[in-house]
Amino acid sequence: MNHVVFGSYLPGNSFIHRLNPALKILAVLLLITWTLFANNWLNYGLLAIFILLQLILSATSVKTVFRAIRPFLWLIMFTVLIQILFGNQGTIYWQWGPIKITSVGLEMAVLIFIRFTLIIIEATILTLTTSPNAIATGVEYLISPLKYLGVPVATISIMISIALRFIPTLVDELHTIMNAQKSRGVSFGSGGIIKRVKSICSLIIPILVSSFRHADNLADALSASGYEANATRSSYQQFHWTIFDTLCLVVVLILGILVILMRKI
Amino acid sequence: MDYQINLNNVDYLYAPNTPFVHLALHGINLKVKKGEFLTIIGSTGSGKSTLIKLLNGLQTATRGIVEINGIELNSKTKKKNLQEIRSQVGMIFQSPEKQLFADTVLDDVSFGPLNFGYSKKESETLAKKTLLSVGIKSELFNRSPFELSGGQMRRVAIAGVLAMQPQVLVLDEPTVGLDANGKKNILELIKKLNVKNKTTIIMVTHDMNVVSEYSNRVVYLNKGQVQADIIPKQFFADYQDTVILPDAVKMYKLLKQHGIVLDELPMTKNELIKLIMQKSKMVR
Ligand SMILES: Nc1ncnc2c1ncn2[C@@H]1O[C@H](COP(=O)(O)OP(=O)(O)O)[C@@H](O)[C@H]1O
Ligand SMILES: [Mg+2]
Repeated sequence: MNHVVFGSYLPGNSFIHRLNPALKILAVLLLITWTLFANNWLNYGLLAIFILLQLILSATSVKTVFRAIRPFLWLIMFTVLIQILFGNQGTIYWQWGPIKITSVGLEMAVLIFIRFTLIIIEATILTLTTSPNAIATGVEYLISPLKYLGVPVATISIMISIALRFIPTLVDELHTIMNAQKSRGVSFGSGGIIKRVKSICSLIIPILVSSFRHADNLADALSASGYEANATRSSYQQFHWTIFDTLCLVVVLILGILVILMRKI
Repeated sequence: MDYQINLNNVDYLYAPNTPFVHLALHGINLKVKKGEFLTIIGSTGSGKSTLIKLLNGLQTATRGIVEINGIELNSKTKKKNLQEIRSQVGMIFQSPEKQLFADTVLDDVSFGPLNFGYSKKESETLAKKTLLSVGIKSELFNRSPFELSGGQMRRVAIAGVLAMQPQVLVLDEPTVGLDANGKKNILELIKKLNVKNKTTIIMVTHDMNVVSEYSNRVVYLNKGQVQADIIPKQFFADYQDTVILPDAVKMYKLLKQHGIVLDELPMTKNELIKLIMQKSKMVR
């Protein structure tokens, strides 16, 4: 249970928890775009301050943020290292063959580090403050214009919520099966290649069988309760668009303009 | 000494250092000797599954000592010792048929012995012997396990653990979802292992008839703590009003309401009948 934070939902009642999920998804997509646009200390600083504000408004602790970043630490470090070693502009501090450390390389590395971190924190704030169901509803709302092109938006939304609904169930089952196979002497991640393939099979096959069984049962349950793919349906959980949502959208758009204006050309 | 299993003041925390932290076990003391038949009862969430996962090192105690056959199990236990303990402590989870995966019944049952270092031939011999003992006929050995009936699948899965010839067998509600016949078959099989091979049995169950008829010791967990650890007869006398009672005890109480007081609390149907006969002789 050490991967508990990234992608998981922490129920709460903060300002950000109460925003419309569609707004939150849209805002996060926009903010990630702005982060990709940013290219100097000034606009990164602005985005960082904005994230800090979001952390305060969502009552997220710094500890939680750190734990969210931790699984990505190696990826970030690797990218940063590549930047440091293969950047080749600016003053050269150290050189060994084609590998050199330069002032521009170092600066780029730090900026990339910040960019990664900001994007991960941004995504984490969304999943921490929005339940899987709300995310599905938000996505449905955002893609709803596509229904005029004949895309079955409602069906896609149901598919998303079913998929999200079954993730914890399957993770649970995976744990149980893993425990059962360990008890039968499997030690995952050791032994020769044939042994490893067999270990993995002893996990994957039962999980596949189990997924099919869940799918069958669910299909039966849906037909038994009169589910029809193309019916119009209302939803139990209603999300209203409030003045705060509009306000947030405006603020995010202004932030985007500022980031682009501050760009180093 | 002489204890096969020794838990000393054990705590278990789920998700420590997170907002989801949960104390699932608290101050558990449990000593089990070879050949005991122990049942673990308690309501859902009382920590039964957590407790048994400590017994073969699937989880390690947050605090306290867990010792199996004199080997201490903690996060520093060597892999070799851990494998040794896992071959000695067989573990059968809820709905064990979910762990089946091999092409044939025989392959699936040989999987455990192979992992614990038996040769291919030895493993197959063990597998065949075990399959027959759980009532799977040799015609089925080369079938796919997924083609069998629910009850057969469960027996194959159980054979997959028994083939490792464990000294201790730990079971988490092994009869859930079986029909009356399948249930009886499995319980009798477990009883036979206990009586003939002196295999130690530790079984989580919700069925009080199983507790009274099969076990000789019952551990009652409540909110992660051991509330009682006594023989079933004493347990059902002490907790008459808090737990659902086995049939024999229910009959005892009904008779008592009608003014017939048996000399003892019966645990099995046979005991009940014997006590009633005694009583009726006395009346005559
Ligand atoms: N992986 C887990 N993470 C966090 N809490 C858990 C986990 N597994 C079980 N728990 C909690 O620990 C407690 C005991 O669970 P468990 O041992 O499964 O109880 P039982 O088998 O008696 O129903 C429950 O409150 C349960 O919610
Ligand atoms: Mg359980």
